[in-house]
Amino acid sequence: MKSNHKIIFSGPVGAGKTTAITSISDIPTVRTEEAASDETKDLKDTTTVALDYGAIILQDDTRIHLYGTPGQKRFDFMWEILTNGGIGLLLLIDGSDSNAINNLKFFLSSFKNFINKTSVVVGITKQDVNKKYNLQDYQEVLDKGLPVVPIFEIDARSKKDVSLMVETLLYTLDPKISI
Amino acid sequence: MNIQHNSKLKISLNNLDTITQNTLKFFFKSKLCEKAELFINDDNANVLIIDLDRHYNKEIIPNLKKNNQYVIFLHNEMNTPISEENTYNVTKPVQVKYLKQQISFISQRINDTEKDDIVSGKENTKSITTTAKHVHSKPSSQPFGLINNKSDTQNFKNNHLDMALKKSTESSTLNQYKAHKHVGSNRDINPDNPEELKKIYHNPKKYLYHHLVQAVKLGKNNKTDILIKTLFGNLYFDYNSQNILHSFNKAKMRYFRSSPLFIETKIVKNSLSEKSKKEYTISQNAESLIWQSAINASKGRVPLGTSLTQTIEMTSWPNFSRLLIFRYVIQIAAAWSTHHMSLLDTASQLKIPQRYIFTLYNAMLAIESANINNVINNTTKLNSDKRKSVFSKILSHIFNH
Ligand SMILES: Nc1nc2c(ncn2[C@@H]2O[C@H](COP(=O)(O)OP(=O)(O)O)[C@@H](O)[C@H]2O)c(=O)[nH]1
Ligand SMILES: [Mg+2]
Repeated sequence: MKSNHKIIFSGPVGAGKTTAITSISDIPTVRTEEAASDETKDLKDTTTVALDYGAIILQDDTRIHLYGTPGQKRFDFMWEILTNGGIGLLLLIDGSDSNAINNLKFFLSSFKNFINKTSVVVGITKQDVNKKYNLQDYQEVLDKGLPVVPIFEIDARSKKDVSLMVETLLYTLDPKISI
Repeated sequence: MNIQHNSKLKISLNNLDTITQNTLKFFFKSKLCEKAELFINDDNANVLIIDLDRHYNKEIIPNLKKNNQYVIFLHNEMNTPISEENTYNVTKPVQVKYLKQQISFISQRINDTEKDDIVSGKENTKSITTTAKHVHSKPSSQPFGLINNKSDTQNFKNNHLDMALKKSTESSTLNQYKAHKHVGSNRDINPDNPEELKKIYHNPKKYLYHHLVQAVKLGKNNKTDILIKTLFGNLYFDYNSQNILHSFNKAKMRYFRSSPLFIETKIVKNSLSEKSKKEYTISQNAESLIWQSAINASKGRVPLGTSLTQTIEMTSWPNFSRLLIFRYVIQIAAAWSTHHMSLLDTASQLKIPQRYIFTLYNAMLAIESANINNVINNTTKLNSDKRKSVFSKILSHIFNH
């Protein structure tokens, strides 16, 4: 079954985007060159930059596309095209990078329009490797008031952690989803 | 419908969601395999278990009596149960005890019918009149076979199945949702009834978590370690590591977290040498210990004086990936993170039992990620996303795999 539902993974290089997609994808994660979906075909014409692609395949065969943006900031022109129509953003920040707080600010502001229209969940990765900041330090970057942006310490290699981010993303979009 | 005496009852699970189906399969396999045979989506079985809240073949209902067939509807509390002949109802979250009870009823009915048929020499022309029974009705007599003895029924009480049959789905693979243990068993209360109201309040000062919270606050404000003196021994907040040190073994700690024994607790600033700290055998992250203790103390209750009608102010998301969580936690927090809602309003808008909301609030209050200090009171109504059904499928998918 064809669908245009997609979840966007973004964050700096090495934050764990490819790993996170692989953790929850029902198909092997591929580069866009191999991905068979309409919007990625369009993208191929405009750029040679590779995106990560994975998918959740529902029982009725609906595909939920999982896209990882290229991490390099010089490709941010692509983000607008890519996020168009997306369900929401999972933002991964490498917590072992001393620039992590600034990276969080940068990505939140780069995706501001998309986030305002949809929702975002932040995952701070590699806290097990070298925890540079506490969660409170990240929370201080956020705007006060509602919505409160979810920030969790996660390991991109953990399916449980990445699933928690997806679950949170969906419930922030609609707290009344029943399963 | 041809039912041989002493043959197994044919039970079919019709169009249930995967998790409920798998859980029931497990239930039948482990508990009823000698009495019942399980089928999937077989409209000809003796007993059909149908989710009233999902799509099902409504044409079956008028013919039940004729075919000497029975239906057990699993239904949401909000949904009016069906009261046709030969239909039974079990409210979700399904309690195995009740499901078993209904199956017992039915097998007795079928058995009685057969006996009548044998006596009168008729072949399935006679059926008995049954009126729909609701789960809370008591069995009039001990039905044959299925419930062997009382303890058998009671064994189900704390079984994970009780939990796993929740609402419509509950995944045993999603182990972090061990909800039944954590929120107590209080029923929803009517806030206008003072007797009921009493049940949902506790005095935090009697519980360990309150003193841990105070110790951590004092320690952080003064950048010092804190000694926590209780009647049962000392605990120690180590400012540098943000850990609580103590020497209580697991069983003791579990008991202490949930028991109202700590009113006599004192906290004082302190500074032990690293060597003396080593005398404490256990070191736990303060936030996660406070979180868990607040859940265990709460059991569906909030601190005395908590307003049930003023809106909650959520200030940050708890680090749920690293904390103990239970069913509905993400859903409730998501509602609070996007809307101003009171405790009672959250329960009614989300259609979630109050005890889940109260327990989560108690824990979030303890780690200072929510409070009811500011009167905002412009409650917002939750709207549904038009992609709700896809979202629901994605959730089922990630809980299932
Ligand atoms: N120890 C640890 N390694 C991680 C974590 N998250 C990701 N990694 C590793 O970090 C590396 C970079 O991840 P990758 O997915 O390629 O990052 P990307 O550039 O964002 O796609 C991989 O080797 C991952 O296994 C984490 O939380 N802890
Ligand atoms: Mg990558």
